[in-house]
Amino acid sequence: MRKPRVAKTADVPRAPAKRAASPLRTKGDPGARTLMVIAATAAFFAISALMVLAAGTQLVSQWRWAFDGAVTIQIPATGDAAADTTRAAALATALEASDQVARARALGPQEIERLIEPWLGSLDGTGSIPLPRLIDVRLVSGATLDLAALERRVKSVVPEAVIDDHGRWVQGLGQLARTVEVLAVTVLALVGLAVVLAVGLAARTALALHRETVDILHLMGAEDGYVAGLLGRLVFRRTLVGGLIGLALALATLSLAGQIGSGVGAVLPPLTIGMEGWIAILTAPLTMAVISWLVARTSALAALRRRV
Amino acid sequence: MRFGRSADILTDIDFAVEPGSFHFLTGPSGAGKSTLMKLMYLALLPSRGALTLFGHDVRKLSRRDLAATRREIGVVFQDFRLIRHLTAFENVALPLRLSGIDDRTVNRHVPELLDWVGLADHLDAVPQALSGGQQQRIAIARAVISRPKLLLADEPTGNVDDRLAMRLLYLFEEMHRMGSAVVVATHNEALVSRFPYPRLMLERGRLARVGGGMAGRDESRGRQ
Ligand SMILES: Nc1ncnc2c1ncn2[C@@H]1O[C@H](COP(=O)(O)OP(=O)(O)OP(=O)(O)O)[C@@H](O)[C@H]1O
Ligand SMILES: [Mg+2]
Repeated sequence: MRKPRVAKTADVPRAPAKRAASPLRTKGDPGARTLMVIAATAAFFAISALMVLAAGTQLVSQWRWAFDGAVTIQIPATGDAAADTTRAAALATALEASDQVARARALGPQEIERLIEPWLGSLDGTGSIPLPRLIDVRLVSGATLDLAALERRVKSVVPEAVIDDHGRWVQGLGQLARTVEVLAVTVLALVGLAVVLAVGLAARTALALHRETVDILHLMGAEDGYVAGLLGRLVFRRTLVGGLIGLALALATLSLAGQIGSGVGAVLPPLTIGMEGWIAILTAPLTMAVISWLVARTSALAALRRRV
Repeated sequence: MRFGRSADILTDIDFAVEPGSFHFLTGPSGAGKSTLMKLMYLALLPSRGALTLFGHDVRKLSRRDLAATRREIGVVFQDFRLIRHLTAFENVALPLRLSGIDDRTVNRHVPELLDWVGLADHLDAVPQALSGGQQQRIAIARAVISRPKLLLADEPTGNVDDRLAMRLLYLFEEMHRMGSAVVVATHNEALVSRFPYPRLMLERGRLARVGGGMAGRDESRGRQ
């Protein structure tokens, strides 16, 4: 009667062993939903910024590839197709003499018709409509375009010729892309800062909210790392769920934007995000949860060390 | 011992609790029993004087060592201090989990002990759903489950009938037999008189010793 008897277990009904319940309450805690909403919002903005960043990088590299070091020269049609051809050929030869130019080629009438076909429809290659002549000029790689010198040379051969400078266009686009990049990185940094601050606050609030439990654990000999670990796991779960919600919203927004964009897709190149971009985007919720876990642990440890 | 700028609540306390000994701590309400217990379970550090536990001066222990020392001490708090949203089972399992005991052992020992304190039917009940006496028994089970070197019980029979009080004291006695040093604070004189153990009597913060011998090594020692 005095001794706690062994072998009594059999008659004690016990549900199959459950996972040890966390001593920190996780249900019905008002901080839980708030942290999750903050995480979802933060993830939405961070992932949107990542999308802009990745798509922008891809787009700029495509433009560079297509336009870098290229200039097109246009000679207005005079109505005399044969004369136009001669003039174009002469200008191409003159340009090739320049040491800035790697190659200059006058486009044939069929090539030009093919280029404008999407806008004007088929012209049957009859030359019935007077078409301007185009000379495709490729610059020597690495050469910086001395536009004024090029223009002088062109005008000396064909005074009516017009230089269509992609370089200036690409430079403008590059600047725009860099501005967007800086903006996206700033958004990422600000969102990161906000998440760190919010999680730090959430960890300290949770400690205050669970003060009684934390005190009991402390008196029972729980080490700071154990309590900080409980809190870290709590924050990790909530920010991961929030982050996944944010990811879902961002993907939905992207596909919606894609559907609207496809209406004008003939003019705009399709947005691509690239492998690295997708990896960064899809792992963003996990990255955020891991950062939050670290922040929660660290701020909990700091707060706990201030106690006896 | 004093709180902030208050007058001293405990003065000139000098005693030793030997390993494996059994003491009652008695005295009128407000005498400082709980405060002395708090010093012994390291909820408070003495404002002056020395407190030695298991051979170590507690003021020289690191945070980590303090936590390890606390795990060697089982406490029945006067106000139970159960974790409200955990079941009886999980509350009692907590000291084992904190010491890294595996789930299988936990699942075997916890129901057994809860059965012994008469709570076999309430393993999955949360404390609010239980009576004061039942909560007290959970608190006791939690204090003894890890077989602490030092077992401190602050008024552990305040909410139960005499028959159950005797049964719980037998449990403490059993812990004492298995090697724990036990200190039971109570003002239940009738209960104290039924056991042959020495009594530490607190009267307005000062200690008087009554009855019983004290022998053995000086390992767990409180002094203030
Ligand atoms: N945190 C505190 N701050 C200030 N004074 C305190 C504090 N805790 C206890 N006291 C005072 O210390 C004295 C002793 O209190 P203690 O709880 O130790 O008494 P006790 O002997 O356990 O009484 P009881 O038998 O009623 O439990 C009381 O006068 C009380 O007011
Ligand atoms: Mg008391």
